Amino acid sequence: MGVRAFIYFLLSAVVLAEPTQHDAIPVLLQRCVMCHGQTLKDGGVDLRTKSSMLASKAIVPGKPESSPMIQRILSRACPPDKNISMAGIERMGDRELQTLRDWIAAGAPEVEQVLKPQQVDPEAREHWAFQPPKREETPRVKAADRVVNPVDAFLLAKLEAKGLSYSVEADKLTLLRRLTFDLTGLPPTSAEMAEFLKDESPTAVEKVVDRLLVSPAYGVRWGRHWLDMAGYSDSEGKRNADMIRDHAWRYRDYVINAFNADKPYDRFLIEQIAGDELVDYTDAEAVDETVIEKLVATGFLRMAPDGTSANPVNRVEDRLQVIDDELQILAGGVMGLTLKCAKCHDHKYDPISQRDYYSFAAIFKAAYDEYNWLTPQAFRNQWAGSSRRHLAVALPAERKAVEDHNTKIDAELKPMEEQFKTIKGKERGELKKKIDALKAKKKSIPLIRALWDRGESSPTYVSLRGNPGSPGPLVKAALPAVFSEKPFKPAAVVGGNKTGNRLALAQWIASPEHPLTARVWVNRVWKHHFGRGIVSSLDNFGKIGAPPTHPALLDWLAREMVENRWSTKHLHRLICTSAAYRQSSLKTETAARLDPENYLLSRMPMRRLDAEELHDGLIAITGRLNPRQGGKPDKVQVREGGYVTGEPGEGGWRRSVYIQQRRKHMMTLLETFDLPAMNPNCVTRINSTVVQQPLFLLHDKVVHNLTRKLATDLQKEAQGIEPVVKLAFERIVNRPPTAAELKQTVSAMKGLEAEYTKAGKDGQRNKALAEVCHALFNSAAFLYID
Amino acid sequence: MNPNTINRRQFFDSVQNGLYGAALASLLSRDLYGAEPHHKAPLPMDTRPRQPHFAPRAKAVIQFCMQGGPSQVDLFDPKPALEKFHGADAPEEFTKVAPAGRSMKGKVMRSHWKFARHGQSGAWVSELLPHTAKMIDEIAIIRSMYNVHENHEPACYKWQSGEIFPGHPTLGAWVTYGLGSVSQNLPAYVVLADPQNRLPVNNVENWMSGYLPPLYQGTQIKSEGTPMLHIKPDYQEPAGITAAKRNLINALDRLHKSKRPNQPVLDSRIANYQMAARMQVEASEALDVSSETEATRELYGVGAKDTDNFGKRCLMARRLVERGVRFVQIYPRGQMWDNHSNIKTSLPAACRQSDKPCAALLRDLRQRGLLDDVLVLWGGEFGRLPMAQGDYAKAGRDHGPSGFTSWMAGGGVKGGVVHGETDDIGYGAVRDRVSIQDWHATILHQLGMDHEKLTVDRNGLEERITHTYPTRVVKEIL
Repeated sequence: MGVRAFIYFLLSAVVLAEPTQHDAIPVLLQRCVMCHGQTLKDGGVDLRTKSSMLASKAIVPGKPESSPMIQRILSRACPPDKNISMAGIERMGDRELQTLRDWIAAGAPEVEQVLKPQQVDPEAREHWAFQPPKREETPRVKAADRVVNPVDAFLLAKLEAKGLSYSVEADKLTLLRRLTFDLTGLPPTSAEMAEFLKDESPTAVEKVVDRLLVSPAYGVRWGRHWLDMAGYSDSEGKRNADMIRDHAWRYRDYVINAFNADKPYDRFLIEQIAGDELVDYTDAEAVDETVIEKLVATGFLRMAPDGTSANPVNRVEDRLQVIDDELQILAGGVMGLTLKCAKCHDHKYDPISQRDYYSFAAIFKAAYDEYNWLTPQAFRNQWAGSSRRHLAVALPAERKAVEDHNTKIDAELKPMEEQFKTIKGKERGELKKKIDALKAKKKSIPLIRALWDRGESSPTYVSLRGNPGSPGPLVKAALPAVFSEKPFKPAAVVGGNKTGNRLALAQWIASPEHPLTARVWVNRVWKHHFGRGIVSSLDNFGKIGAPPTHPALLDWLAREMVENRWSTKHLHRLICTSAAYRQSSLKTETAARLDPENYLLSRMPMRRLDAEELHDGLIAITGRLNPRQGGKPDKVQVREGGYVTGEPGEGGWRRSVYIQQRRKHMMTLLETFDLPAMNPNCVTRINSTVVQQPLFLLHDKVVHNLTRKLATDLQKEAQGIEPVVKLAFERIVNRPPTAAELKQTVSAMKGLEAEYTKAGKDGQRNKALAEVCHALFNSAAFLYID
Repeated sequence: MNPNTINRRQFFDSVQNGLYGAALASLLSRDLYGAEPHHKAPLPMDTRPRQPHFAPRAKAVIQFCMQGGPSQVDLFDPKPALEKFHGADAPEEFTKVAPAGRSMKGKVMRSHWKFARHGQSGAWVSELLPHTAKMIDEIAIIRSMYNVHENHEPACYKWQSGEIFPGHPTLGAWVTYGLGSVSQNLPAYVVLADPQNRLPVNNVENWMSGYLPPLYQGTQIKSEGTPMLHIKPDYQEPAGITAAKRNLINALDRLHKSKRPNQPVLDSRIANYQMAARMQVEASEALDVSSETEATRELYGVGAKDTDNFGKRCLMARRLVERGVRFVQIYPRGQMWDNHSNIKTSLPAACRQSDKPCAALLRDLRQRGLLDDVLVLWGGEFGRLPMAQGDYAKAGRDHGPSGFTSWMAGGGVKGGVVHGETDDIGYGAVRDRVSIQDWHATILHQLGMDHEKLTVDRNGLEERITHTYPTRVVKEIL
């Protein structure tokens, strides 16, 4: 260090020793503004800025001991004892109090912090994922006959470089089963199988793909993938109570509907990130379906586990954890950025500084403000100054229906309540019951669990080492410097007082030039079709994420989707009709040697049914599936020994996404087959092979009962052992048995029938057939997709 | 000998001789700075045995989960000064040590029970624990434990998972994630909770796997009735049917596999069904304590009124680790240590139920030559205050997280050691303080694992059981 620099260092140290508003305000934010800030101004006092402190006569510059603020803290009048735990705050420490005194003693100086522009390492900026995707020329390949669309050209080019090609084409029924589960999460029906076998036209596969893409079951399947990423749950998590989130399901329906409607992916993102800034919901009479939809969409950013519905765990640190989870779900899930790493220090591998993290958080501040917090639920002993994160915005007709309904009840109640005042004794008790029962019939306006901009917010200081008690520089809303060094400009909004910050962010994320958004999404879609992403770390496209196996293909797909109005269904069509997707899962010796991990897609990967496919498949095949979609989730029941089962609603079992999704008490069947606990979300499902799985499928009574029912149905359709066995294969594993399988099964069925006869039971044929079905549900042929 | 029983030698050798090969070090502590493109190592999706980071001293763990808060000043940490202060306000110089922002006030209460020195080491033990006292030379007592919260729920989460909220993997889950399990016919991590379902605070979350795959979560085994969920059909079926059906599944799977070469997943699937069948047999066998000698059963107090409930599970725990289970937790019924009132009767009752069986397990493991390889843990999420709660006549003690006692034995832990100190009245730990993460790290260390290297990737963060807290292994007791 040169002499001059050293002197400068000393001087700056001296200058820094005098506190400024940037030392005082973070203390006040943590300890005081919950009563004297944006929402509450107790005693007319607002402590958020120097001018508001002066205006409310809280401080006398130069005279700390005469400043009412200091006096009240010293006398312990502030914060009032009874509020201290309710407001999630703690008493001011001695050091903090000294800071306030020093600041006031120094005359409450205010300085403007000028932050230097950030220096982004030019080399780090060169990382492939920070460059916009380019459409490279489609390569020429030898096996031109196997190129259905450019997807194949890109894949075959790499395979041929290794001396490989695709596997043989899968047979028709294998392909149909694969497509149907993949696009709808359900098995094909007998009629669908027959129709596809009959169709010998060259576009038979295209027709099936189109049919599946317009089926409402498609949205259930692909919405579920998105809900994993969003961390969808019907409960709050974090705490033992795992409180139920009553209105979260409306977001689930939004997602499923969006997939079914093939909502352009850019729109889909903008609505979820900033739907509240797209519409005016201030005029209750003007509320329409669009307004509701946009508000419900913001439920995306309300999915993280959140325990702040109780005083001891509603501290600033707890709230910051919720915000951090939400930001990571967005940054990781949508942009493949490990933003979270920069919360406590600069990112170790990617060009994201700690300042970037807090500037990014500042974009959300008017919606997520840890100093002006909206709690997820009402609770006992709740701080009077807090409010909740639901909007009571409904269609005028809906609102009127509720009001009319309640007016009618009120009219009925009135005479009863009059009477209640006069009568005594037993009759009084009975009347009270009647009144309560009637009151319980009152309806309330449907609420929306939303994220909305509140027009203004607390300032954002960098938390050194991630600790809000160690404030660093004050930052403004900004994009990470690696993407843009221009000042952040809020977007134009409609309706009410809103900052427009999130909408500006959303428009940037969903812009065609964004280097990450489209790539991350096509990669995720690819992963769900082929079992692995082109970038295998779905939420990390940074330096230590996995490099893409096919960079040119990834870029081509990204451009292709964007240029086709960001259509996800367009992607499915390309992928599902490609020769790559139509190949067999047969793993030849050569492929096993040259492409052991299948990075090159020398065959279709074999995969196990996931938890939902297994559950939904079981009830669909056994004819118990209630196709009703949407609405409140069906409850789960926790039985002795920790067994959790769904309670079928009216019309039988619905698909598993409509069963209450809790962070604990997940349905045993689903959990056994790797349904993830959302903590906070699930980027990639695991696929385990554990002993609980066979124990469940073999021993669970519900599964066993379903096979009995199926056996009865099959017997109505086919007579004789051989025909009925064939039918069972067709229904359960979606193909006819091989000769060896048929022989084995027929002989087993005869044996089973004999066993039942020995046991002297009636209906041996049916019971034996049920056991055959049970065996089939336990077989690899059912549980794995070729 | 039962053919399913792994003998001691097989049990303790199979890991070291690299039978299963997968090395934990390469699997879990990946070099993030490497120049090579970084592919995440896949999570191990099974519980086959894996090599630890370094040579382990202990191969299995049995944990007595004494949740509720056993009163240290009445059991292991005698405080003569309580006589002096009895009836007076607790001096503030001690009570200002508050872990969660609230210092506790109250009138000091002396212990109702006498302490005496025991064993060669001469460690002090209360008259309430006569059986444990006899084993004291096997035991390292830690008198300076502390927790960070004064309520059961958060303190239990901290104690089990290192954080005060649910959602993080528990110690047993981390251990089985790191080491797998020798037995493939029994769950790797077994929880023996009260058979009448009087579960501890936080319920099943005491053995959750958090963001580790669910295969690492504790499997609850009941000591009465059906031992675990779905271990037997929950419907009636003639035995011949079951056999015929299993044969059909096996035959179909083999036909399926024969047409699909080079697919190891299909082999592991068939193996998985075979394991399910073996587990049915072995779980029943492992839990059948009637095959033990009368003397052994008597040692654990099986059949005696007070000790039957807990003693049976202690005996099962020994049978399970003998058969290669990695981690066993035993929970007493409900909150028997949570002596808010009538400590004069409620604490002796808790000791009567558990003292004899706990000591019996140590003695039995020692006699069978297993204690050197099995780490036994005793303690709760916190202890109790030296002050009275309620009127003296019916007084109890409130939760005391600032200083409490737990103990370890076996698995390379020094016996007859007393580590750390609380202040004069036993309110807070003052010397050689041991945090929950120190305690976790010490346990992992005995199992051959470095708490900083046993990690899992979660959304880009390398999570570990000690999180980012400053942590040290308590080497003094090893």
